[in-house]
Amino acid sequence: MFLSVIWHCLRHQGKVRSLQFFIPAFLFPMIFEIIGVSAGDHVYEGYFLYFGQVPIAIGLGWCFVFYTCMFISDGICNTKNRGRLSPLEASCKSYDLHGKSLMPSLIDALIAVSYDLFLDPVAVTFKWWIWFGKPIFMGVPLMNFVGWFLMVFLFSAVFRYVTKQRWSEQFRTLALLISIPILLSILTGLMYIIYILFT
Amino acid sequence: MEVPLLGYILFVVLEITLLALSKNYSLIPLSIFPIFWAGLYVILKVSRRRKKTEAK
Repeated sequence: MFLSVIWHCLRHQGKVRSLQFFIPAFLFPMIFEIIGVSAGDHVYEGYFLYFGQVPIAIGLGWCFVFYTCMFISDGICNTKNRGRLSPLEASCKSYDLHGKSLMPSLIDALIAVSYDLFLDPVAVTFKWWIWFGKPIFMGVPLMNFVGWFLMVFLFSAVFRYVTKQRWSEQFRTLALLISIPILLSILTGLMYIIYILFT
Repeated sequence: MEVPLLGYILFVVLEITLLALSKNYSLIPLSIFPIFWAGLYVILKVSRRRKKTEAK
Protein backbone atom coordinates (compact mmCIF):
# COMPACT_ATOMS: atom_id res chain seq x y z
CA MET A 1 0.00 0.00 0.00
CA PHE A 2 2.76 2.39 1.03
CA LEU A 3 4.86 1.58 -2.04
CA SER A 4 1.86 2.18 -4.29
CA VAL A 5 1.38 5.74 -3.00
CA ILE A 6 5.13 6.44 -3.25
CA TRP A 7 5.07 5.25 -6.85
CA HIS A 8 2.01 7.40 -7.58
CA CYS A 9 3.53 10.47 -5.94
CA LEU A 10 6.87 10.05 -7.77
CA ARG A 11 5.06 9.67 -11.08
CA HIS A 12 2.70 12.61 -10.68
CA GLN A 13 4.57 15.03 -8.40
CA GLY A 14 8.24 14.27 -9.01
CA LYS A 15 11.12 13.43 -6.66
CA VAL A 16 11.35 16.76 -4.82
CA ARG A 17 7.63 17.02 -4.01
CA SER A 18 7.57 13.35 -2.98
CA LEU A 19 10.40 13.92 -0.50
CA GLN A 20 8.73 17.13 0.72
CA PHE A 21 5.58 15.11 1.38
CA PHE A 22 6.81 11.77 2.72
CA ILE A 23 9.54 12.94 5.13
CA PRO A 24 7.20 15.16 7.22
CA ALA A 25 4.30 12.70 6.69
CA PHE A 26 6.46 10.01 8.32
CA LEU A 27 8.21 12.03 11.04
CA PHE A 28 5.27 14.10 12.30
CA PRO A 29 2.93 11.18 13.22
CA MET A 30 5.83 8.96 14.34
CA ILE A 31 7.02 11.50 16.92
CA PHE A 32 3.44 12.13 18.02
CA GLU A 33 2.86 8.37 18.37
CA ILE A 34 6.04 8.12 20.48
CA ILE A 35 4.66 10.89 22.73
CA GLY A 36 1.33 8.99 22.96
CA VAL A 37 2.96 5.66 23.80
CA SER A 38 5.28 7.32 26.37
CA ALA A 39 2.25 8.97 27.97
CA GLY A 40 0.68 5.51 28.39
CA ASP A 41 -2.14 6.13 25.90
CA HIS A 42 -1.69 2.95 23.91
CA VAL A 43 0.87 0.27 23.11
CA TYR A 44 2.06 -1.62 20.03
CA GLU A 45 3.10 -5.24 20.49
CA GLY A 46 4.50 -7.90 18.23
CA TYR A 47 5.75 -5.77 15.32
CA PHE A 48 9.01 -6.36 13.48
CA LEU A 49 10.89 -3.04 13.36
CA TYR A 50 10.51 -0.25 15.95
CA PHE A 51 11.50 3.44 16.08
CA GLY A 52 11.36 4.25 19.79
CA GLN A 53 8.35 2.25 20.98
CA VAL A 54 6.43 2.72 17.74
CA PRO A 55 6.63 0.30 14.79
CA ILE A 56 7.98 1.71 11.51
CA ALA A 57 4.90 0.19 9.83
CA ILE A 58 2.71 2.68 11.73
CA GLY A 59 4.64 5.64 10.29
CA LEU A 60 4.39 4.19 6.79
CA GLY A 61 0.66 3.63 7.40
CA TRP A 62 0.28 7.29 8.31
CA CYS A 63 1.99 8.31 5.04
CA PHE A 64 -0.58 6.16 3.23
CA VAL A 65 -3.47 7.75 5.19
CA PHE A 66 -2.26 11.33 4.56
CA TYR A 67 -1.70 10.73 0.86
CA THR A 68 -4.95 8.90 0.12
CA CYS A 69 -7.07 11.35 2.15
CA MET A 70 -5.52 14.33 0.35
CA PHE A 71 -5.92 12.58 -3.00
CA ILE A 72 -9.62 11.83 -2.39
CA SER A 73 -10.39 15.35 -1.11
CA ASP A 74 -8.61 16.88 -4.14
CA GLY A 75 -10.89 14.77 -6.34
CA ILE A 76 -14.00 15.74 -4.36
CA CYS A 77 -13.13 19.46 -4.30
CA ASN A 78 -12.07 19.33 -7.94
CA THR A 79 -9.57 22.11 -7.33
CA LYS A 80 -8.21 22.01 -10.88
CA ASN A 81 -11.54 22.83 -12.48
CA ARG A 82 -12.06 26.53 -13.13
CA GLY A 83 -15.35 26.22 -15.01
CA ARG A 84 -18.84 25.93 -13.47
CA LEU A 85 -18.45 24.75 -9.90
CA SER A 86 -20.75 23.06 -7.41
CA PRO A 87 -21.10 24.75 -3.96
CA LEU A 88 -18.59 22.30 -2.49
CA GLU A 89 -16.10 22.92 -5.27
CA ALA A 90 -16.62 26.68 -5.01
CA SER A 91 -15.78 26.62 -1.31
CA CYS A 92 -12.54 24.84 -2.15
CA LYS A 93 -11.69 27.10 -5.08
CA SER A 94 -9.88 29.72 -3.03
CA TYR A 95 -7.34 27.02 -2.06
CA ASP A 96 -6.47 26.64 -5.70
CA LEU A 97 -5.93 30.37 -6.13
CA HIS A 98 -4.30 31.53 -2.93
CA GLY A 99 -3.44 28.42 -0.94
CA LYS A 100 -5.27 29.83 2.07
CA SER A 101 -8.61 28.00 2.24
CA LEU A 102 -8.90 25.44 5.01
CA MET A 103 -11.82 23.62 3.33
CA PRO A 104 -9.73 20.88 1.60
CA SER A 105 -7.85 20.27 4.87
CA LEU A 106 -11.15 20.01 6.73
CA ILE A 107 -12.36 17.43 4.20
CA ASP A 108 -9.02 15.57 4.54
CA ALA A 109 -9.56 15.38 8.30
CA LEU A 110 -13.17 14.21 7.91
CA ILE A 111 -12.11 11.47 5.47
CA ALA A 112 -9.38 10.37 7.89
CA VAL A 113 -11.75 10.22 10.88
CA SER A 114 -14.33 8.30 8.81
CA TYR A 115 -11.58 5.88 7.83
CA ASP A 116 -10.54 5.49 11.46
CA LEU A 117 -14.13 4.84 12.61
CA PHE A 118 -13.68 1.52 10.80
CA LEU A 119 -9.93 0.96 11.19
CA ASP A 120 -9.58 1.39 14.94
CA PRO A 121 -12.38 -0.99 16.04
CA VAL A 122 -10.85 -3.60 13.69
CA ALA A 123 -7.37 -2.91 15.13
CA VAL A 124 -8.70 -3.27 18.68
CA THR A 125 -10.42 -6.57 17.75
CA PHE A 126 -7.23 -8.03 16.25
CA LYS A 127 -4.98 -6.40 18.92
CA TRP A 128 -2.85 -4.50 16.36
CA TRP A 129 -2.60 -1.96 19.19
CA ILE A 130 -4.09 -1.74 22.69
CA TRP A 131 -5.81 1.34 24.13
CA PHE A 132 -5.71 2.21 27.84
CA GLY A 133 -8.10 5.20 27.81
CA LYS A 134 -11.82 5.13 28.59
CA PRO A 135 -13.53 3.77 25.43
CA ILE A 136 -16.39 5.70 23.82
CA PHE A 137 -16.82 3.84 20.52
CA MET A 138 -16.18 0.10 20.01
CA GLY A 139 -13.33 0.02 22.51
CA VAL A 140 -11.67 3.19 21.17
CA PRO A 141 -11.22 6.32 23.34
CA LEU A 142 -12.40 9.78 22.24
CA MET A 143 -8.86 11.21 22.19
CA ASN A 144 -7.93 8.83 19.35
CA PHE A 145 -10.53 10.36 17.01
CA VAL A 146 -9.62 13.89 18.15
CA GLY A 147 -5.97 13.04 17.46
CA TRP A 148 -6.72 11.73 13.97
CA PHE A 149 -8.78 14.80 13.10
CA LEU A 150 -6.25 17.33 14.39
CA MET A 151 -3.19 15.53 13.03
CA VAL A 152 -4.53 15.21 9.48
CA PHE A 153 -6.04 18.71 9.52
CA LEU A 154 -2.83 20.40 10.73
CA PHE A 155 -0.52 18.45 8.43
CA SER A 156 -2.73 18.97 5.40
CA ALA A 157 -3.25 22.69 6.07
CA VAL A 158 0.49 23.33 6.38
CA PHE A 159 1.48 21.12 3.44
CA ARG A 160 -1.16 22.62 1.13
CA TYR A 161 -0.22 26.15 2.20
CA VAL A 162 3.55 25.71 1.82
CA THR A 163 3.37 23.93 -1.55
CA LYS A 164 1.13 26.67 -3.01
CA GLN A 165 3.55 29.48 -2.16
CA ARG A 166 5.95 30.89 -4.73
CA TRP A 167 9.01 29.92 -2.72
CA SER A 168 12.08 28.06 -3.89
CA GLU A 169 12.03 24.26 -3.43
CA GLN A 170 14.79 24.48 -0.79
CA PHE A 171 12.81 27.04 1.21
CA ARG A 172 9.64 24.93 0.93
CA THR A 173 11.51 21.85 2.19
CA LEU A 174 12.98 23.87 5.04
CA ALA A 175 9.56 25.32 5.92
CA LEU A 176 7.99 21.85 5.98
CA LEU A 177 10.78 20.45 8.17
CA ILE A 178 10.62 23.41 10.56
CA SER A 179 6.83 23.03 10.74
CA ILE A 180 7.15 19.52 12.29
CA PRO A 181 8.15 20.61 15.84
CA ILE A 182 5.74 23.57 15.65
CA LEU A 183 2.86 21.29 14.61
CA LEU A 184 3.79 18.79 17.31
CA SER A 185 3.66 21.53 19.97
CA ILE A 186 0.29 22.81 18.71
CA LEU A 187 -1.13 19.28 18.46
CA THR A 188 0.08 18.22 21.91
CA GLY A 189 -1.25 21.46 23.43
CA LEU A 190 -4.66 21.09 21.77
CA MET A 191 -4.91 17.42 22.75
CA TYR A 192 -4.08 18.30 26.36
CA ILE A 193 -6.74 21.06 26.47
CA ILE A 194 -9.38 18.74 24.93
CA TYR A 195 -8.39 15.93 27.30
CA ILE A 196 -8.82 18.26 30.32
CA LEU A 197 -12.17 19.56 29.03
CA PHE A 198 -13.82 16.31 27.94
CA THR A 199 -12.47 13.49 30.09
CA MET B 1 -9.11 3.66 -11.31
CA GLU B 2 -6.35 5.74 -9.72
CA VAL B 3 -3.78 3.98 -7.55
CA PRO B 4 -4.33 5.82 -4.19
CA LEU B 5 -8.10 5.27 -4.37
CA LEU B 6 -7.55 1.64 -5.28
CA GLY B 7 -5.17 1.23 -2.31
CA TYR B 8 -7.71 2.89 -0.01
CA ILE B 9 -10.53 0.58 -1.17
CA LEU B 10 -8.25 -2.47 -1.11
CA PHE B 11 -7.33 -1.79 2.52
CA VAL B 12 -11.00 -1.54 3.50
CA VAL B 13 -11.77 -4.77 1.60
CA LEU B 14 -8.83 -6.46 3.34
CA GLU B 15 -10.21 -5.49 6.76
CA ILE B 16 -13.71 -6.69 5.82
CA THR B 17 -12.21 -10.02 4.70
CA LEU B 18 -10.31 -10.36 8.00
CA LEU B 19 -13.49 -9.62 9.94
CA ALA B 20 -15.48 -12.11 7.90
CA LEU B 21 -12.82 -14.82 8.29
CA SER B 22 -12.73 -14.32 12.06
CA LYS B 23 -16.55 -14.19 12.19
CA ASN B 24 -16.67 -10.64 13.63
CA TYR B 25 -19.65 -9.74 11.46
CA SER B 26 -20.90 -6.97 13.77
CA LEU B 27 -18.00 -4.66 12.79
CA ILE B 28 -18.48 -4.99 9.02
CA PRO B 29 -21.25 -2.31 8.77
CA LEU B 30 -18.72 0.25 10.05
CA SER B 31 -16.99 0.03 6.68
CA ILE B 32 -19.72 2.35 5.40
CA PHE B 33 -17.73 5.31 6.83
CA PRO B 34 -14.63 4.97 4.60
CA ILE B 35 -16.67 3.62 1.66
CA PHE B 36 -18.84 6.78 1.71
CA TRP B 37 -15.90 9.01 0.71
CA ALA B 38 -14.62 6.63 -1.96
CA GLY B 39 -18.17 6.44 -3.35
CA LEU B 40 -18.54 10.23 -3.33
CA TYR B 41 -15.22 10.55 -5.17
CA VAL B 42 -16.25 8.06 -7.86
CA ILE B 43 -19.76 9.58 -8.29
CA LEU B 44 -18.36 13.11 -8.67
CA LYS B 45 -15.67 11.97 -11.12
CA VAL B 46 -18.20 10.08 -13.26
CA SER B 47 -20.66 13.00 -13.30
CA ARG B 48 -17.89 15.46 -14.27
CA ARG B 49 -16.71 13.16 -17.05
CA ARG B 50 -20.30 12.85 -18.31
CA LYS B 51 -20.72 16.64 -18.29
CA LYS B 52 -17.49 17.05 -20.24
CA THR B 53 -18.55 14.55 -22.92
CA GLU B 54 -21.97 16.20 -23.17
CA ALA B 55 -20.33 19.64 -23.58
CA LYS B 56 -18.18 18.31 -26.43
